[in-house]
Amino acid sequence: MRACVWYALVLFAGVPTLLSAQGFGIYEQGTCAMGRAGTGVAAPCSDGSAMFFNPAGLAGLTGAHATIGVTLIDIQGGFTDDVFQQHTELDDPLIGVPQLYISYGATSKLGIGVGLFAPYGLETRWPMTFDGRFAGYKNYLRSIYIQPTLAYQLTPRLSLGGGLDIVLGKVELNQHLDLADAPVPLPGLPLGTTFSQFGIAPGTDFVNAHLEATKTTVAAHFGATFKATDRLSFGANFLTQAKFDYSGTATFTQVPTNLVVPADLPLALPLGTLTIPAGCHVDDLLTAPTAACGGLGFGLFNTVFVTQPVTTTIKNPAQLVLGVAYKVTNAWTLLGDYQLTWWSQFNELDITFPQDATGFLNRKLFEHYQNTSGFRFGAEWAKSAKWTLRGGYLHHDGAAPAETVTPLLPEGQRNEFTVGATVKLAKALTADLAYQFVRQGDRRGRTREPIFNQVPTTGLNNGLYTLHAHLFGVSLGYAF
Amino acid sequence: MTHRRGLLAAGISLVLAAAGCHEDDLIRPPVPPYTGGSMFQRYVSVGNSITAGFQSAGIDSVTQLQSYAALVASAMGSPYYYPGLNWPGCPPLFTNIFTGARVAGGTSITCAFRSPNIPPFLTNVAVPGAEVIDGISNFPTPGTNSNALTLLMLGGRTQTQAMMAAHPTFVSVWLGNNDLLGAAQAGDTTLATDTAAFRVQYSEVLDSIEATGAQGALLIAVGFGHLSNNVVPPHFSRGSTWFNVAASGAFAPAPFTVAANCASPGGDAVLVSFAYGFGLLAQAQAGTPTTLDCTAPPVVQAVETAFFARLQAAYNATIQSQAAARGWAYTDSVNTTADSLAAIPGQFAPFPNIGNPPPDCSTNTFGLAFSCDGIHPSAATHRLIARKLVRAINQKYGSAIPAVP
Repeated sequence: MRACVWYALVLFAGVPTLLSAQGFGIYEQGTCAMGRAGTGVAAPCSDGSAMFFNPAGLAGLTGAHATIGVTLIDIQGGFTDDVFQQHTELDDPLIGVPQLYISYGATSKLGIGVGLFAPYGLETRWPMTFDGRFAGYKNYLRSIYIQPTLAYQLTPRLSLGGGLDIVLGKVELNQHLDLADAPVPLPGLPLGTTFSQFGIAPGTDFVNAHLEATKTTVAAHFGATFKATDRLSFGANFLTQAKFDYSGTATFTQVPTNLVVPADLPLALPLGTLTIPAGCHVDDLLTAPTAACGGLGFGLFNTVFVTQPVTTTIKNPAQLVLGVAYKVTNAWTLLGDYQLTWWSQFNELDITFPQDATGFLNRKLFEHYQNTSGFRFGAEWAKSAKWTLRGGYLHHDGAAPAETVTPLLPEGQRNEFTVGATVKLAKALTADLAYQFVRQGDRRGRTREPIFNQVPTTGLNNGLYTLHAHLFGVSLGYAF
Repeated sequence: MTHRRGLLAAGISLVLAAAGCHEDDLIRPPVPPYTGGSMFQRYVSVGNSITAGFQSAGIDSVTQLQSYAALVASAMGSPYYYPGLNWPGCPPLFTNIFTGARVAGGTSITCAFRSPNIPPFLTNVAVPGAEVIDGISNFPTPGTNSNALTLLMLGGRTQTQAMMAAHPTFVSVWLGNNDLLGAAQAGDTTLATDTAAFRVQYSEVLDSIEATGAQGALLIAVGFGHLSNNVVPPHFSRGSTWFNVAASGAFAPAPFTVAANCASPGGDAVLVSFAYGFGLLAQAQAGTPTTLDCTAPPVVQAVETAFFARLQAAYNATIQSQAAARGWAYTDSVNTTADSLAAIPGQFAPFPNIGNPPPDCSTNTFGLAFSCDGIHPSAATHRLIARKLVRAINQKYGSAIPAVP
């Protein structure tokens, strides 16, 4: 039975997540901490979520504790383009981010546990009418961390903790390719001649590309808490980078353009004049030679766009959180955290197709993310033995520079507000509820990647991304 | 306590307002700032070779930017996106129409294709050679006139498809010239589009404009001069002119004869196209004796000229009534401008400047108003056309589009 629950959780955790912290980070890994804006590195919640927020927080626990929870994310956002002033709404479903923490106080000083959480991931879905479909219309990035954890109270004031993370990664990208941007595979034409130079209009879909890859890697997690006084404590938490050398499969399917060459098109090539006859279907021209196309056919779906291996490397960046907690009274606690995430480790993405001799498919995405700082402030009021209430506010920078705000991750600086509560349902059973409102600053961005793997500039930005989100957290804790 | 709560609420409201404010300044709507400017946020021109920027039997990025459509868009403050054709053009322009020499040694099938800078949409969707039917259909629909530029400029789309893709706020239409020009060049009235078909096809073009929700449109009358006023492009010369030039010995020593039936007064009423007349002359210069007979089928007879004049009037009556029914602007000002130009010496050459040896196109072969093919207006005339069109738009819609300089 336990195995089934575990398997179900892993499957559930496979549901990707999106956009609730810097970059593609997700910090809502416990309902209790969520209610106080994620603060708690100096005084983690007692629900076992310390395994994520600060592993040292497991030291000194008594008995065993299991918490299962989920954060539901309702993303609202879209893109308004400069030219037509048309707004396209994100098409994201309600997304669930699960957490499971099982902890046990082995001795009065030694705490052990295992946690499952997903601190990095994203999902963006756009309608197929959106110009951003050529960058990616359904994109997933998932990282599930399974973390055995150990914590020890070195002195009554100082505790240390750590964990080894087994990280299950999966990435999926679905995009259309634009015939206008595709090079014409005819010898003798100047290098880089694209179909757009034959008049093919931008936005002419001709290939659907599906890229999917998985990888399991490891990372490490360290934490420390220091109680300066009975009321004042400090904490530090460090999660190392997780590097995924993904290897997977790319599949391609032809999307009909339904275009017909409207008149004989003579092409003066070094080997002689070639005429593409009127009536030739462009879709045929892209595939096999036909009489209607004068015996011409590029065979793209037998040579270039065939199912083949694909590789890429993605790094979940390291993050450091420093925090302080001050117990104002026996009932009131104030908390503050500072978070530094090394997003500069997410710099370039090389998507490589080792079997593509033409090199046409290889992509280099320049992300050029910047390190970000987050500031979290929370308050907790133990109203009674049954009720504890929480609230908080946080602000953080955007990791994406102005030139890489894209449909894959239209991210930016955010202000977030949270409230939450714990209610003791029975002697051993507690329930947590939390709500978080995320308001991202509107950001100019682009819908397309530059062609031929060029370095993007803000000159490509063609509209405005807007985003806000409602997050709902719920969890149940059981002490045994 | 109430005061505290009030302060708290005010504080929270301020924070929420700060966090939730919409950064309107991040949007970049190109709204022209003058009265009525929003109507001209995205202008699209549907049309013919003149609209596309065809000059001297060729087209390139330079002539595309000289088109009246570019000038009107510029005056409107609307972006002008055109299917830029690389130098030396597609095909390159004539440098000497008599020798057939073109820019950079090109030929009539030379094509340097499109510029790699692809705009997000097309302001100018006009294609040279387009008749009204080409506004709504392409090959293989019977009667269409698709050509290589239909592919290169529109990617195989029709003009209305490309127009609709631009989500226009304002559209101009100048279609119909080729519906009678081809017939006139062939001297065959049966090749002209009949008025019933014209009405149906033209309506379909306009229906597609209405479907976009465009705020307004300008329908431009067919022609470049009123045929009823005997104004014809200098691509056509009168039979009597041919007779008189031949009599002056200008064609000697070529064995080329102009028949007596071309002399005045009968020859005053017939029109000889450049292609036909100079085709015969070229044969003679090559050593084969030829005669221009003004009763030959390619020569436009007086009765045929009258037919084309009536046809032009009928087309324009259809266009005018369609404009009225849809509440759009209609202008015949291009024709009246051409009528005026025709009366100014040097603007419409009655006969091409043939010289000896034949001069190149820099000598205004067909007059100042025309480029070096005698059909398509010169850059200066495009500017005149643009001024007239802007005036017509402002008059109909009460807008304040600045004058074309």
